Amino acid sequence: MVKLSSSDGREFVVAKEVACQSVLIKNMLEDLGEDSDAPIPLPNVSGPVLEKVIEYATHHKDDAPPPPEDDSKNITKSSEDIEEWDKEFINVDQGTLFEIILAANYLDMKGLLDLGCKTVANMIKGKTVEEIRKTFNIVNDFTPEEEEQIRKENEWCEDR
Amino acid sequence: MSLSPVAIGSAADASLSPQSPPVTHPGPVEPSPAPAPPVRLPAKSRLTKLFCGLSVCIAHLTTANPDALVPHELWNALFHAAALLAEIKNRPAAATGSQAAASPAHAGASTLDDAPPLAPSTRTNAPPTTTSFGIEDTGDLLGHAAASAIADLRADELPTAASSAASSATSVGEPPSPSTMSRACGIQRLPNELLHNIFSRLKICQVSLYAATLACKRFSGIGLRIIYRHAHIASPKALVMFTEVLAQSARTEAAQRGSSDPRLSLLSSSAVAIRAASRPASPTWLPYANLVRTIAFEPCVYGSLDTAAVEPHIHGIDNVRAAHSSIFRYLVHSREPAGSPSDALRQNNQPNIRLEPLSSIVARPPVPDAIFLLLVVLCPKLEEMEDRGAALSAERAKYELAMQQQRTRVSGTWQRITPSSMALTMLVRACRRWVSGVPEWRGFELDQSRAFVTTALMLESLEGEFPAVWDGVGARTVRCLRPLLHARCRAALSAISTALLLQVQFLTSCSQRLLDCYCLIYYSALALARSLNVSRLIATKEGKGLGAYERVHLGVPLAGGAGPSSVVVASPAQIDDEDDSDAHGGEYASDGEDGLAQAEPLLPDSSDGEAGPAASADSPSEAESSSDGSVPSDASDLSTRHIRRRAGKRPAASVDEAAEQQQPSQLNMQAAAQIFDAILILFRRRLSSPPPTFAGTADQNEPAASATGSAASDPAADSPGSASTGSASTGSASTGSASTGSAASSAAQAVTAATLRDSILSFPPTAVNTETVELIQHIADTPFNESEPSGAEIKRWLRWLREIGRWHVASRQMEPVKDLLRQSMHKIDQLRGMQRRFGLSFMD
Repeated sequence: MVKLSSSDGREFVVAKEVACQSVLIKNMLEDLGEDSDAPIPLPNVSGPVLEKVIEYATHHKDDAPPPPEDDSKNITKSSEDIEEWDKEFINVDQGTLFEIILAANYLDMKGLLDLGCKTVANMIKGKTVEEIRKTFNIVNDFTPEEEEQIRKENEWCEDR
Repeated sequence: MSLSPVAIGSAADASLSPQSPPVTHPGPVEPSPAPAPPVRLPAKSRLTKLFCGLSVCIAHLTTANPDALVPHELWNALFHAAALLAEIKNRPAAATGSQAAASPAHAGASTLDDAPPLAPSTRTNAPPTTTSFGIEDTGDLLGHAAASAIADLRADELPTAASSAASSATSVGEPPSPSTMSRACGIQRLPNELLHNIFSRLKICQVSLYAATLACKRFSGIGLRIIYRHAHIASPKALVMFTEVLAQSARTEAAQRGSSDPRLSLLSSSAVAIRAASRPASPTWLPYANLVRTIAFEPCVYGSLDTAAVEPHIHGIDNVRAAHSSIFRYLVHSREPAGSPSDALRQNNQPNIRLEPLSSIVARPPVPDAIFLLLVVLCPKLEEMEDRGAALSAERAKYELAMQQQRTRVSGTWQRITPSSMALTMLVRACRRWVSGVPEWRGFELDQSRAFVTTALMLESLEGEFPAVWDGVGARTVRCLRPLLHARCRAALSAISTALLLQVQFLTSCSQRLLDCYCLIYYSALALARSLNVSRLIATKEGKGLGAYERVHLGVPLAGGAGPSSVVVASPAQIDDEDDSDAHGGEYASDGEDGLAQAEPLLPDSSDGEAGPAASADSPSEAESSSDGSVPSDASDLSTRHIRRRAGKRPAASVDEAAEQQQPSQLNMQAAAQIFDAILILFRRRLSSPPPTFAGTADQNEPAASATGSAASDPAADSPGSASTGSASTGSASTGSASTGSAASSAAQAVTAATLRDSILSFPPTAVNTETVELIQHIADTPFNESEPSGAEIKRWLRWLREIGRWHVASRQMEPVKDLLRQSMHKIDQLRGMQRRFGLSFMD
């Protein structure tokens, strides 16, 4: 078993195969040795988010390790293929969603990171500019001239 | 003619552009000055002097040091001079004065006239600096080749452009400062690499990604890089706009560097580049041209291959739209218009077409479309092009869905059709070799079109047809230059022909894909046509039930009769009904519009006894009944099988009663009448003439059957496949009943019916015009009730009418494709003719 300590001081005891889904924790365990009982500090992950991460890792503990990314082959990433359980798992508020993405990035959990990024991509898909701004509470920092220039230069993107 | 001594080195130095190195190039070749003989050049135009000087210089270098290579800059200068001379030679005699100014931009003007309509005229848009010089300004002419592409970017604008671009670069793509970034905005907390990860998943949905890039500066910095790195082009118009932006971006980058990019000289005759050059020089938001790695040409969502088509969406031929991409459509639309002089020459299929005059060849150089070289030049990091869209793209998914909904064997193999992307990528590489393949070969720094014209005229001049160029050079020098020039020209023509052949290969594979779609449409429609029953349609139109139909054609008694055939032989109506509910029910009847495509007309699966549409009661296979009315073994087996199957559903003794109840409804009668009117219009029958009636057909058939025992009463007689039999019986019937007026009328009507049967055997049944298609398409929307008697038959007829309209639209789209293929083949013929004419072997 492995002890994990969140940024707010909460400790979680999880099975080693669950914890080792995080490449960061796996490397730390290898560095600290098998016998160390000291909790592994995760200062960038809060307790509630770590709880969600552990939930995800527990559910996917038997999954095959993801293949290494090969940018040279330029594999097209998709945002459609999300399993039902994952959809339910990631059905959280935006704040938690981005916290999970940041945690997955910090913990180096490719599966969870992919899930979070796919979810955000799906939130963007099919929306207009204004809808995107409204959905993510984005402030438009373009001047009207700048926005017009970008629209004009990239008009071809919209032509069908 | 006065001669003035001109030193070789000074002549070259004076004539070469600032971008071109001096003749005494400090390369591996250092001509020894001692053996250089004095050269005298004629006092002609400076351009001619330059050409002669360069020729002599090359000859001199070769003579002085046979083992060394002549610097390619010298060759390029020579061919640039030749290109200008070629333009002068090809210019119409009427062109004088400033109009005769030899400008590379003007060289493109001849092609601009035939360019896509988006390309404006050079004469109106070219900056003043490009038209102000005369033919004597040789040095400017040479330098203009590189300078024209950025000529309208004035020097006083450069600092502004650079500084503006620099300010943009600092503000785009960088995270906003903490003061401007709201920590409350969750997505803004994500670092750039995570945003990139998210946006990368949207590159298959470019419209959404583009919308995201407009949300804020940070998003635009990340999203636009992804968009341009893997650009998806969805239409020819998008392609033109895309290249214009790239051209503007390339000009901005060149201006920021403070020096002209020699690659841009290749764009001097490109319509798109000239259009971009006509725009005010302003820096683009990002250096787009350097970002492009791959370009995916999507299937066209809207639009047509027919240039003149105005309809934005073509119903019913989704597979045709799915088969071609935006680049294919662009090439089809930008082809040489029909009716042009060279088009007429091409149409003239003379055996000596390969030896057409050189002037006609150089008027339409056989080179690949300029768009490929343009993209390669503008995008220095472009690696490949993808035809028919990238995998998982939203547009492609639409068509995959459309194809899957058709549920045909062809649609199942659609994904396995060899893509034409390979040819496109090879074409990119061929153009890349032309631009910057090897140090000593850069295509004379001319685009392929101008290089071909120059090469052709150089080769011609060496044959004595253009001797003025060599005046003053001397026969010995020309003899010395001849093999060197031949080698250079051969290399140029080889590179051009390779690119052209790759383009033709791409077009051919695309056309083959289209042809597959056309086969799908055609054979499905043909199968449907062969399942139609004229007599049943007439019977329905007149409100005759199927029982009456059977009585007339099979001799089935009305009630409790002991007619042998009613027991032994299933009526075609019964078979048809069963086909409707079984085979058709699975293919035609219940599948809506898309059910047509899965008819599998030519390969009915006979193993399980299920006949396809082509093997229905009207099918030729059932028309093989013997003349004495007996049923051949095959037909007997088929009928027996049907009866056997029907036995479980309905007792054989009650067939007549049930059939008697099958009277068509008023709605179906009206629909049948409308269909019949459409048929008469289609075959240009006069509507005023009495249409064939069921009674007439029956009257005609009955005596024929009774008198001669022919197959007139055989169900197969109604089949289009047995048209000859039907016609024969019709003839005998008319002879037998010629004594009475009604019989004659019946015979005429029967002939009409037989003709119709004959006509619908082929598809399309007759040539139609657009107005007729509109009319029959309108009739094809006639309401009817499928669940009522004859509903299935009416449905088949209405689909047949729709198929005629679809085929009309589809075949109209194929015409420009045929034109393009003919043009491509003609270009290859021209290159072969060049081989023969000049004894060069440059094509594989």
